[in-house]
Amino acid sequence: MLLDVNNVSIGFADTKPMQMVVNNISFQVDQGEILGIVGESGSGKSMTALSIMGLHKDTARITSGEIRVEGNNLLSMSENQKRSYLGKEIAMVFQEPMTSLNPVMKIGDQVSEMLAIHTRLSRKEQKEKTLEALFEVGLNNPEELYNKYPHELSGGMRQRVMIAMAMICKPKILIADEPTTALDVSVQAQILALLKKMNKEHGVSIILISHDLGVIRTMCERTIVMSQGKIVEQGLVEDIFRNPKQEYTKKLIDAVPSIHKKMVEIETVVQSPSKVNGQVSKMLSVNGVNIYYYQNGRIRRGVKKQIVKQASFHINEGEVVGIVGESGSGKSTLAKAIAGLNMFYEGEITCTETRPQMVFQDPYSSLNQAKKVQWILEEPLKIKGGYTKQERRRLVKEKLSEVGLLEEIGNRYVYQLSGGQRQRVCIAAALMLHSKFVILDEAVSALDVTIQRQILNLLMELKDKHNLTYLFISHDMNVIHEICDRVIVMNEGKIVEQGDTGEVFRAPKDEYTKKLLAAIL
Amino acid sequence: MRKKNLNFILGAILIGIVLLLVLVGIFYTPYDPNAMNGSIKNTAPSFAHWFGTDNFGRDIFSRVMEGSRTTFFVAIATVAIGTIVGTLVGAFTGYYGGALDSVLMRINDGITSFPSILLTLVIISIFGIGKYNIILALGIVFIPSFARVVRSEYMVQKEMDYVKMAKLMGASDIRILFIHILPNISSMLFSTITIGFNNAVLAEAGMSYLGLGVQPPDASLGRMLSEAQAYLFSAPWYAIAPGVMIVITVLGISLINEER
Amino acid sequence: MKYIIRKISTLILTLFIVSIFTFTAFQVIPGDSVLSTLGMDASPEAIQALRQERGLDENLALRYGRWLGNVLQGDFGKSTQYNMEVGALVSSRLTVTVWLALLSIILIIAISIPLGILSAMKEGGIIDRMLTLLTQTMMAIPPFFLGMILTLIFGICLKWFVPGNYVSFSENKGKFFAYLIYPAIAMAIPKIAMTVKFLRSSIRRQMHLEYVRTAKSKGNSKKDILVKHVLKNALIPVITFLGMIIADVLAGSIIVEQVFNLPGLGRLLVVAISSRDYAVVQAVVLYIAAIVVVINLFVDVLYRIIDPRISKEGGAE
Repeated sequence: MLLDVNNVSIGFADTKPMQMVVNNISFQVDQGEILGIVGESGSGKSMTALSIMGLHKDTARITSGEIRVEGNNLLSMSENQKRSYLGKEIAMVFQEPMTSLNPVMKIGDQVSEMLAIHTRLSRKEQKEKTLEALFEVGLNNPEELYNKYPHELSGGMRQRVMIAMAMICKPKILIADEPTTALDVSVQAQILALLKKMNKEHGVSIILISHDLGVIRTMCERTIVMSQGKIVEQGLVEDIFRNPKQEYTKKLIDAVPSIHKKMVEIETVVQSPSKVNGQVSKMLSVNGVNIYYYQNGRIRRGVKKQIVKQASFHINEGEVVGIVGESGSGKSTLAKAIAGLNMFYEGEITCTETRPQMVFQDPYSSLNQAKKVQWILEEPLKIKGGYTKQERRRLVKEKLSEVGLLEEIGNRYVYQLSGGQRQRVCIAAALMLHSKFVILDEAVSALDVTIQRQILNLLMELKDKHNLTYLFISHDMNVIHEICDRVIVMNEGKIVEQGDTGEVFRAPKDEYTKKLLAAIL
Repeated sequence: MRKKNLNFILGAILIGIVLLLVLVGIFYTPYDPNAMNGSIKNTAPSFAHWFGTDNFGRDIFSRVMEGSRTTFFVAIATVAIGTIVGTLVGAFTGYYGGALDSVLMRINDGITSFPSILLTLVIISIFGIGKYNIILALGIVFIPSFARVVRSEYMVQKEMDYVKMAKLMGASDIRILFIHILPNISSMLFSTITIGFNNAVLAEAGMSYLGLGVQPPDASLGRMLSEAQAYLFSAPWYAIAPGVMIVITVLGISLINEER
Repeated sequence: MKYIIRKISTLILTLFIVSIFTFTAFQVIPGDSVLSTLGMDASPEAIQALRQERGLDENLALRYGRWLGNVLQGDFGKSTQYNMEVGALVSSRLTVTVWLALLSIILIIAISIPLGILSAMKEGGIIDRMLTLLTQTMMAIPPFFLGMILTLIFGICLKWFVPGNYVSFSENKGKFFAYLIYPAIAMAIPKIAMTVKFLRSSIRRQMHLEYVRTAKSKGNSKKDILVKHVLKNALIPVITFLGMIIADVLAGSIIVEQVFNLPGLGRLLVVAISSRDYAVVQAVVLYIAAIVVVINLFVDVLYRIIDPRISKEGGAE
């Protein structure tokens, strides 16, 4: 046994009584294994990982337990003793490779610093080893990279640098905290493959922390499921997925949208009314749309960059159409143009709904933080005009209950709501003026899986009730597959493929679509 | 946690004292601040004259009360000009951007890179000396820095999704600017105003000290310090009273702003 | 290189605009310099004669052109108050102001940077708390009042210097600096406090960033994290801040010179404003503006050298 976490509890010292975030958890890591820790936000999984290395915030205290590496308890060591373990025996890879690297220090210096701390190698030897390490993680021009700064690298390259840095002293344990969450799907697959390669070739044990069950399933043999600071279940990954013993695990697994299972109830409701009547009327048609962007914001002097190239498609009434693509594909830019938020485009966009609405990814940013929910929901009515105060109150109350919120929520500020509640308020605000067409821009991407499930169900319910049409923008193939009738695949500003969801997923024609599908976990 | 509260309480006490003196001074001062009395020139602080008397035998305590009021008046008026004009300019330029914004901000950067004392002096030398001219001069000098702060806040806020939601609901630009966005920058505006107030107090004192601000027989804290300079040897208390008044005003406000 | 050329051309443009501003500003004022020389009850003929002599009856652009031409040759005109060449007048006063500002800036940098680091390192400790309250208090003291207190303590009570006296640079260098140090301290103290506060919060902001966590995960000691990682990041914004402080100190000397009775640019400017001696005001403003613009350029270039995130060619990203 390499690492033994025994009965560890962690709490925040700045609240009274002390608020516990991790309660009496115990687990072991064996030589050469990849152990998964999966859980939703607030489950304490990251806190557990950080506490192994003593990187938790100053306000957090480990109140009990032992963390033993090869029998030596890290928690009872002096600062100096412990430092000789950090980086050398246990290393860590973080979620955000951009902010995790020092912005004003050269890549090479950051990696070789590890050697300067833990070895007695000469400067020349340090540099040689650094170049080797960079090459090993798939960075093919280490000499050039050595003198670069983090902002000059792409996200995937930065994460490779982080892995090179973590692995350079050949640690026994590598802790990877959501290492691919900030990356695009195709890059995610590469980084996961790299981690697996490190595990195979160097025999390093990996603790992989993730909210993504797909990632855990492809990477790990054994996993721990955490919720609210406790270990709910642990065991072999396949056993847990096939046959979850605990109620929470069952709920979690059921909530995940996956192309491998399509929910029966939803399949029955996709029949849109307009199709049933035999006649199809168009909600939206987009014809040869080009959108440009000027760097520096200056039209004359800035570099003109085309974000969307010759986009053409249409959406029928009552349909759910998905646009899928990675960051930089132009999908959000296109959505803004359709909604009317960006008037600078070439081509033709016609929409039967005069006021299309949008629901955004980050519900915190899309709600006015200086106002109460009641005000936020009354605002569209005030802008439209013609409602008395009583009418407005009544309509807001109705809408709140329609999106599954209690009336009291109206008296709260945004920061007093949970993520799921905020997204419900956003949906309510979008529907306040009875808009028939709603653009959902990564609307469920920031939510935990169980909350995501609830919001997806709510969206489908509302669609049936009000005969809504959705344009659903997402990077998540699984979600797209589950709720969309038709799908549009975008890459580098171009629509590379469109068609019925089932067909596109079953028999993709475009290379890029195939690549995306292959990266699904 | 406790430290925060302690500094805040200290700030509140200081400001409480200053405000009390200023407000009471409107209705009552122990002596007529301008009444001269040759028999009690430059007397040290005593029971009858708490802060002593000046070279004309005027009661310094009464003059500090009146002087603080003048200084407050100048500072508040200055900040009002800076805040109102600066917020309007900053809101429109930050929200709309474009050519006008670039031109205005170039000018703004040029102005703010110059030391404000120099700029104030130039404007005073154009408008002339006096209480209202100093308000105008300081007000104008304050506009660019206010506009800059407000503009950068608006530039951040306009990219927030709630502004996009408001646009989609059909809200007018004016409504978005002042009903949706403005409340979101109130905290920053408050702190800019308090810092601006402090700077105005210090600037008024400086200008009046140079003899370019409030003119005799009006008392202002800076004016009093200017008069006290010559008697630093014979009547040091004359300088200390208005000087300390400036310090506790500025300190009190910055403590409250800092620890709020 | 391209960048430097562009910056210098902007610098020249800025100075050009400042010169137009200062020139025209003083042409539109009602009470002109003729009246202030001759007095209100002068005869119309005498006024007309002097106006002609000073070239005040020609059009504005022409006068500006001639003035600028003269200025470029170092001729700022004649002071009505002192009745001597403005150029000579200003340059004789410049020494005091520049030395005073320089002395003050050295004090600011030498004291505030170690103090700021100390304060940030002891975050939450008793030293930090005391420093916080102290900096807040020091920032609240107007420099001229501080000057009066220094005069009271060191001049009147301790008699280390004679208040109101001054020894020129050419007379005795040692005494010159001995007299300059008190005003320099008076100007430096509030600025030291501001810089300490700025640096401290800059370091603290960095301390909470994720790269610090990475540095810790590598096995760095607390001291190494600060010295090798945080300090460079934290000092980058301080450079810009110090640029502003330097400009402020230069202008602040206008007031402090008054307290210590130093014959510098500031005293000259204040007297010139009160007596409406516009040729002098214009010259002093232009001088200070030129110095400030050059300092800004210097800060800008330094910033680009130190911060790798700004691309070396073209504008910021």
